[in-house]
Amino acid sequence: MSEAAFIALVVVGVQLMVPLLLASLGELISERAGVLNIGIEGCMALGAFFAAVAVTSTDSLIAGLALGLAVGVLTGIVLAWLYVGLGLNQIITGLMFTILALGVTAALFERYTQSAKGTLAPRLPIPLLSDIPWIGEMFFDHSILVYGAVALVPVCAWFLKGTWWGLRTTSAGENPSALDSAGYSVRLYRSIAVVIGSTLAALGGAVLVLATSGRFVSGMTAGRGFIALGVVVVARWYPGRALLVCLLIGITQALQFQVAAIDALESVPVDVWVALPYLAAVLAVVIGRRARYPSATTIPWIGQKG
Amino acid sequence: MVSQIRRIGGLLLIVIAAVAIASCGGSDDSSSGSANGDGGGGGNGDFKVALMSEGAKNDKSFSNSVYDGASRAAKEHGLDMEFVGSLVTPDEFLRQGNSFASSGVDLLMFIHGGMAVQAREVARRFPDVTVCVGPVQPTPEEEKTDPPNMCYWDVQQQDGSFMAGALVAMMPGVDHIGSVNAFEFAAITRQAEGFALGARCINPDIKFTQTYIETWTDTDKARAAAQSMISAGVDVILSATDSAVVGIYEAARDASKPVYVIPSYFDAYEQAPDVILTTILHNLDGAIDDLITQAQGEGLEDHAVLDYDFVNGDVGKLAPFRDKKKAIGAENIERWQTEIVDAVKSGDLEIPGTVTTDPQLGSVGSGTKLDPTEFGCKA
Amino acid sequence: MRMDSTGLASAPPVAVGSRRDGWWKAAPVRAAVRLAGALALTAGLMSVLVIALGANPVETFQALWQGAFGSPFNVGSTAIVAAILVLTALAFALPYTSGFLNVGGEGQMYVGAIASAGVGLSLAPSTPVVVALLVSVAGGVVGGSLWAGVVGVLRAWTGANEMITSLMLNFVAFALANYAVSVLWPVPGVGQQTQPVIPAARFPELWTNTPLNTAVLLALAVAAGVWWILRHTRLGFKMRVTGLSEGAARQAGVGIRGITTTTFLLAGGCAGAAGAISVLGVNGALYNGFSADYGFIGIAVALVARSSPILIVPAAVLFAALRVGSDNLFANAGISPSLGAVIVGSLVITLLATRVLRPTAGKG
Repeated sequence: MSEAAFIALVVVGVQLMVPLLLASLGELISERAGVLNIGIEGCMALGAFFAAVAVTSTDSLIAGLALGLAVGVLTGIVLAWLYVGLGLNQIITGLMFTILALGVTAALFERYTQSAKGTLAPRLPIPLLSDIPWIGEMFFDHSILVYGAVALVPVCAWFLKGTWWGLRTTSAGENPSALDSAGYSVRLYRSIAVVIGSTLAALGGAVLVLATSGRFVSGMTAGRGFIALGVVVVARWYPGRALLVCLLIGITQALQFQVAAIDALESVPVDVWVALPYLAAVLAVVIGRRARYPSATTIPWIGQKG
Repeated sequence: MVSQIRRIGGLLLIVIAAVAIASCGGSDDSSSGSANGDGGGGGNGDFKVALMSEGAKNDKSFSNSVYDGASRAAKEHGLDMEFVGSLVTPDEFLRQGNSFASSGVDLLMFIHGGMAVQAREVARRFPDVTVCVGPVQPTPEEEKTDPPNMCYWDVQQQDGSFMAGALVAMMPGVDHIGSVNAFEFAAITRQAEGFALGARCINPDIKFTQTYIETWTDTDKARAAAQSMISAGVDVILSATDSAVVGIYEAARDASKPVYVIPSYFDAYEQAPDVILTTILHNLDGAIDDLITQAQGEGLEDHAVLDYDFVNGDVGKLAPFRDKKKAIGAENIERWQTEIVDAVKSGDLEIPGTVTTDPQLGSVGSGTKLDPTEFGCKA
Repeated sequence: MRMDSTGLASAPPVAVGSRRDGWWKAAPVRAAVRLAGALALTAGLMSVLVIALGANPVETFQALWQGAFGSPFNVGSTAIVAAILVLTALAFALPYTSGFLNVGGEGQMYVGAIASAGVGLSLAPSTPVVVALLVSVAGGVVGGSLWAGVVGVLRAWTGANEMITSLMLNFVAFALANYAVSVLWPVPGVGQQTQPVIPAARFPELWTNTPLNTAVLLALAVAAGVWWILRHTRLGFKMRVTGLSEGAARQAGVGIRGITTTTFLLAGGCAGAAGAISVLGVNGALYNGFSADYGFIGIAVALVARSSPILIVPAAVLFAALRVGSDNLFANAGISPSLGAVIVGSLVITLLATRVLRPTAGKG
């Protein structure tokens, strides 16, 4: 494999990583608070559709991100109300929400013609860093959306570990009764986490649109939300590790396309590549069997017992 | 009780949000839903056509082109035309087809080459309805067992990609071409292999790289595939997928050297004027228009097979080169016109068929294995 | 504050299907009223959506009814989809009764379909009807069973979260189906499907000129069989006890690992049978993307039926009618068929929100 091919592999991997990373961060925060949000695939699709609507009608990157974000917040409020407010079964609600959201976006896509505008996100080589041989090209010469997504990783880590709000959020997932005894509302912290999580997932969808074409295509999320569920387990609910896992998945997917550089790849059936991230997730769940969901995940808070 | 009310109040909120969403989509075009070609005019006002497809009618790709052809025919002859997109499973196609057939359509079209079995079943149940399926060719056994009201249509997609491949190979500085393909089956494979064979017709040493991405719609994956090709030195990329093609435009734009994209089916020039070299128009709209026109006129003959190719149906004409004339080179366009296009028309150059012929371009690798001089290439 | 009206929300997490006194005995009238109310609410919700899409709600519901039951063909279509949903619902209900979440029914159905198609198309054309059908169905059942068995074994011996593994294996199964379609048994010239199975391996017709065939009987028999296993066998008792409390089950001498694996094998067998029906009873070959989310809708069916193998039958008919009926929406009401998924999704969420459905969380 040539040097150029290797660099291209990582560059493409980094770009493939971004929507998945945002969805994974969203899922991670929500799960830390004790809510398993299987609806993030649906959030992504909605975020993608509305970001494209905004871009088509305004030609503005900010508008695209803003509408994607707004839709994420709205979706998050609805989901928080279902998961936390009503305490519905999270797995069933999430699955049904995804089926519903994919149906809605497909129906809307048929009624609402959009034209591709191309990405509006400028590429920004970071001064000095982008001059480093190899590394610079691989990691520091990307679209601003890439940096934005990666920058959210330390923000999320700091939020969970370094702020009172974040600590209370994690205790809503680990030990809700203690949080409740301390006089805080478990429901409030969980709801906010679901809203943040859905918003990040919707942003992931928006980035999918904004980084490629500016146009929504029905079915473009293609199961990324479900891969994110696996990513979170493998990353053991740490944002930093989620970044690494997403990057690895991105590079693995990019490897599929390096057939020109590596002849041996030609004999590998395409389906192997398609199945690989999911198989890796299964494997990781098995190997990391000590990886334990926050103890109150999927258990609705119904008040102190007794 | 209070909580009950709250719950219902919340649901109402969702309803309101849903309405807001739906109406913002609905305000866009009032003619959507059933796209009647205005059945009022013409003597054939009661001739009804229904089309069923996998994609949406506004996907700016395969289904869009089909829809355009059907609308044109409907308008010209004053027919009732309905188009339903986004169908996925074979039983959905069957039920939808049954629903149309029992609602009294005269011509029912399955726009999906893999739905011959379902089409045959509807044709058997409704002998008065002409049921067409395509793009696909019937097998010899099928021709024997089909009911008479069953018809097939096909467009020889390799014709266009062959000629596009030849054109690209003439361009200065192009020595490596690529193709991003959806799934591995004949109707897709023949496009990519035809592209490779056409290029080798001009330049036997040209390098060809292809990837099957197993999706019609994942734009980001299409971009990643194209980007990887570009970094390996590919200069022109054919799209043999569907609406995911927009991702390929983005990869081409992002390249440090000029890279061109050749999409298929629908002239989407305005979607990416900077990188689209030309579009291979498989003339689906022309084929569909012709088929509907024939069916509502004298009617199709029993067991009709309508096979459209470049010679008989303009399948594979390239969209205008517009501002890319310079990049291609005026003398190359001229040479291409005489050496390739005219030669195909006159029969001096014979592009292989899909699977029923020998040699064929329906299997992976055929385009790089076949010897182009056997079909009339000079190189 | 919410507990007053819905005291049941705070009930200990008990697998509903395992309760001795069924809900219909406890409060039949209340339950019926709740269900009717939820259906009315969904209908109202849908009406608003339909009006927003510029169509007439009355026409839409007529079209829905017509599409599901309006002709012998439509009734047959609904019945055969219901048969598939009964089986995918059982694939969720069985592990649910033992306290496990199997959201991999879709993938298990895919593997069942791949295996059925593989067996059915490689049999000699002269194979007698009964043998060919039995062998092909068995292939599907074994295929689905093994696929789910992986989840069960992983859960039993490594403690790997069964919800995640079963969900992920769905996507692996989709890729496997694509491989079968494009590499293992492709039809030259046509894409997206395998060669057809031999005619002798197809389910015999029950009602001429409709899709209704003996596959429906298979689904009913399996539902009855599962009911019998759960109610009248030692295995069923162990499964229910495990669902109530793993600790108690262990103390009672139940081998948790064995029960977990067996439960998943049985569940996968049901889903695999659904795949077999889709190939041998509906499509005649394996098609890429042949399922309209039937595995996922099966979860909804199981929940509406509270995991009771008997109640799953009418619940499956309800969802099949919605799914099949929505295919008629376009021709008769001008509404996108994508709305079918929206109807199913919002019905379940409304049923959950109005507490008609009160599923418990799994063991996580």
